[in-house]
Amino acid sequence: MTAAALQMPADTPDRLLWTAGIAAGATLPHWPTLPIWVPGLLCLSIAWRLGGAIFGWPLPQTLARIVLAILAFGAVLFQYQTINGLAAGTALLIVMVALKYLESRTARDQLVLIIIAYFLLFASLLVDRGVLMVLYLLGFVWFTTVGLLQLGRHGPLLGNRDMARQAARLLLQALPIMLILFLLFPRLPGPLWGIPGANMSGRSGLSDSMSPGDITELGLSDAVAFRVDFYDRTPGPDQLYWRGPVLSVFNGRTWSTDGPGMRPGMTELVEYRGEPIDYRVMLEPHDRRWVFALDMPAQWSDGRDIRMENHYQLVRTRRPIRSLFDYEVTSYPDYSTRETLNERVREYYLRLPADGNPESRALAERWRAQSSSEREIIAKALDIFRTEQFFYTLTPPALGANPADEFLFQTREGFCEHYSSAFTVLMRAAGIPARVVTGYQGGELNPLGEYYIIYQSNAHAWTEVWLEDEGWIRVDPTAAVAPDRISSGLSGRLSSEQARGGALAGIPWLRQAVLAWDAAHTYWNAWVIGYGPELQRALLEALGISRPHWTKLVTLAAGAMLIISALLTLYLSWSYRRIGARDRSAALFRQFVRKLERARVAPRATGEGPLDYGSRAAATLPDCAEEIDAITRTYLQLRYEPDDGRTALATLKRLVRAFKPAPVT
Amino acid sequence: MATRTLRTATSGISDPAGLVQPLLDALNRIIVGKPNELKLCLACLLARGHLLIEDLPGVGKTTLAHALARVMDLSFQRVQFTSDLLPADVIGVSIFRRDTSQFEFHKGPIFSQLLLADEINRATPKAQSALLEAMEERQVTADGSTYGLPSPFFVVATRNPTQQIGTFPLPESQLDRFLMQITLGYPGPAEERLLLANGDRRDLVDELPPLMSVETLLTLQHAVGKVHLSDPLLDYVQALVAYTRDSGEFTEGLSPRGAIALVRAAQAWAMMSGHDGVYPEDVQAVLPCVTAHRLEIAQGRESDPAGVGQTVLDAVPVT
Repeated sequence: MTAAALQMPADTPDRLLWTAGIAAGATLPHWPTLPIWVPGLLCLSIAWRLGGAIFGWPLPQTLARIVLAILAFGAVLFQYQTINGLAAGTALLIVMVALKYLESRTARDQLVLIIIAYFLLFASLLVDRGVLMVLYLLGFVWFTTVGLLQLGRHGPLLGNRDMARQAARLLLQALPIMLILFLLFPRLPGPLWGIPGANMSGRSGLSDSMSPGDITELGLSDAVAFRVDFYDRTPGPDQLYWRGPVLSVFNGRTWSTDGPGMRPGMTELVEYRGEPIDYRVMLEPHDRRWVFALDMPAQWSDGRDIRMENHYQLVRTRRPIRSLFDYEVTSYPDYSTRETLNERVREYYLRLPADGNPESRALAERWRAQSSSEREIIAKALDIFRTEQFFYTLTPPALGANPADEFLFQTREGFCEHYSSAFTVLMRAAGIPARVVTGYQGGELNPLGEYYIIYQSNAHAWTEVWLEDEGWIRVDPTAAVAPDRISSGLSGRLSSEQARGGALAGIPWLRQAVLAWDAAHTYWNAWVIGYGPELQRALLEALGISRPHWTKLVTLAAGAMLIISALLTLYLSWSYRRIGARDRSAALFRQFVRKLERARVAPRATGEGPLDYGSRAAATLPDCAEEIDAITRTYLQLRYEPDDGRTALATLKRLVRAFKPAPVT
Repeated sequence: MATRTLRTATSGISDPAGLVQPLLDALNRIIVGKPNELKLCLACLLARGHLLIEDLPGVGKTTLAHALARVMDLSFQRVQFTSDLLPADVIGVSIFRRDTSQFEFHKGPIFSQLLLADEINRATPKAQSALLEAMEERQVTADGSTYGLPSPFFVVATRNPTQQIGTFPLPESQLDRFLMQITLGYPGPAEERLLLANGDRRDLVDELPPLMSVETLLTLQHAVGKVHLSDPLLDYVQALVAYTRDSGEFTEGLSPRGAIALVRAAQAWAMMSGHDGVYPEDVQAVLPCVTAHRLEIAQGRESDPAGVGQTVLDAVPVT
């Protein structure tokens, strides 16, 4: 299209509708993250402009448009206090799309909008990179390309089906290049843009403190915390303790961490025994630095980024986990820590508020007096959970000022955090250093993908006590009350509770569908989103390219693209030389003429042009006049008119195939 | 994308066929019963060619030229070619002016937008060639100075059938300068009756309003060259030209200039017919009149009563 043609008015309602569809669809993924007035403005602009085109509503003049643009710009600035950054930038772009649409008149305006639409579609990946979003984007890129083909040519719009086919062909031709860039383009560790923090606020997950009721919220949360792929050996359900933040400070009601203290060489304090378990974890973003691993991790990937802090918890040092985080760990379920505590640290893990929970203290001191060893005290404490009437429930009654006392002697209803909290208070009161460990316990095997899903509802809290000769050992008082909770994972716990999947659990096929969807999601995460430097290196090594430097990768990608383009060009030139679209149209027209001759239309004379022949045939067969006319016109257009005839060729093919003239009687 | 569609090229003229139609309608009211010839006339003008009308006196050649000038709003001059016509009578003459002691060029009738050269084959070859040179060069050189001819510049020449006494036949090379040659012929009985009943056509011509501005005409002329020529069509044109050269039907085949004329005329015809590219039918429509004065049936061959062009068209398959 020439510059002059770009400037010509092209504001017919069908063209404007196309552009409106593209503008709305390309911005749609951003709508949930935008303030309501931005999509509102877009819809208003579209309605106004379409009203102008269809019903002749007055459209704003230049001055009004300038004022509108300044107001909209100001509104974005006011809303975000900036125009930089992902959120404000996207909002500004969409506001400008709305205003551009309002003033769109020429073909050039429409092309500008389409180009911005492509950019906005790409920007949607910064919001979400899930399977559904990518499917939507691929579909909509197709739609937008059809729009580009339709609006990018002069004259009336062509058939959408032909155009859709041509757009699909274009996109398929781009596919090899997309794959090469995906596979070979140098990968940066971590995303270029962090997913904005605003998105994290709604996510549930563990926190760095625990007061009664916190984990209940998680217990009801359906969200996935992480997924685990065990490589060769799967641990038993009673070994599935995923270590999270360790809480050692107690104020009478709330347990909280003392913050991660970095200490090098933590693994040297651990004596690892038995068989190791190797696995890969795909951790969902949770905006914290915690990296979950099975007790007790011995080795893990990316040792510079992931460190073990002084409570044996793995943490990420570079930045909080704001996008899907993928790592490998080797853990030993059988271990002992051999850590010695000096007097000061010992005292730290015994610390309780000066007053409060008097009954618990009294009980613990009684045990201490009666028992000969610390192990005996622990046994006694677990015993009361086991023998007395304690109930495991996710809806416990509220607790007052002395939660441990009230729980142990009155309500006796609660879940992991109540048990671990009360147990730890008892241990400290009895003079045994103890702390609460939070994390996740269990997980659900997805049989379709042979991997485990750990939901937020798997959140758990247990206790670690320190014994002189054994170091820190894990004691899970909840297991004493509700062994099912530990041995069979969540379903046992949920059998009597209203909880996650309660409705789903009853419908097997629905459960299957949910698991299948999760499997698809996981493969997507593992192989597409998770295709980072490590996987790339592995792939290249499999191809025989070792230690790829980024310059090598760029050269490789460029070379591969050159080869593909050359192959495509060769193929196209060969196929065109062999049989061009024009010659194919001639063959189709000959077929049409043969059909007419069978219908006893007098044969085409040597020098008879197609137009003359068509009118003669139409006069002979008035019933088919319309079809004959359509075929002749399409053929003339294909063969003698300037536009690229490839879409019309499909039309001609369809018309000629469908053409079945009744013989002249 | 290059400038490919006609509507794009004319920048502002979205429907050339629609623009031309009122002119045709007006001309058809003057010269009744000859719609095809009139359309060819206009095509010739739009293709920036010159028109040769070979006909008997009194069939409306002059009226046609006059009417064309009226509807297009062109300045019109008429030169009656006679055997004593001198080149200066057409081109103009330099006159010495005593007061300035300089020669001053007085422009002849050729300095008009539409020139009717009546009975051109009555003049001597010298006078003929003066006109034909000017037609080709679109400028006139006199006494060492060059004068540009107005634009558009359109010559309608008429010639009597050469069998008539007292004519100088135009040499072939000169005839090539005319894009088309048409024949009006006698009107049909119904049309003739209309002519007889309605009195003098000249009065009707004077009442014609101008229907197109010179600017629009120039834009249309420019647009003609942009009408799309597809490869299959050029194949067809080449096949036609090759036939005139190789078949032995004609004394001489079409010259390259003749082939170019054919394409140009077909482009103009396609534009007037509202086609987005030149169709074979467009070539077929103009071929007879483009070849009429260029091809001559070889001796011993039977001439087609429908004209030389039809011989070619019937023999060459459309590609």
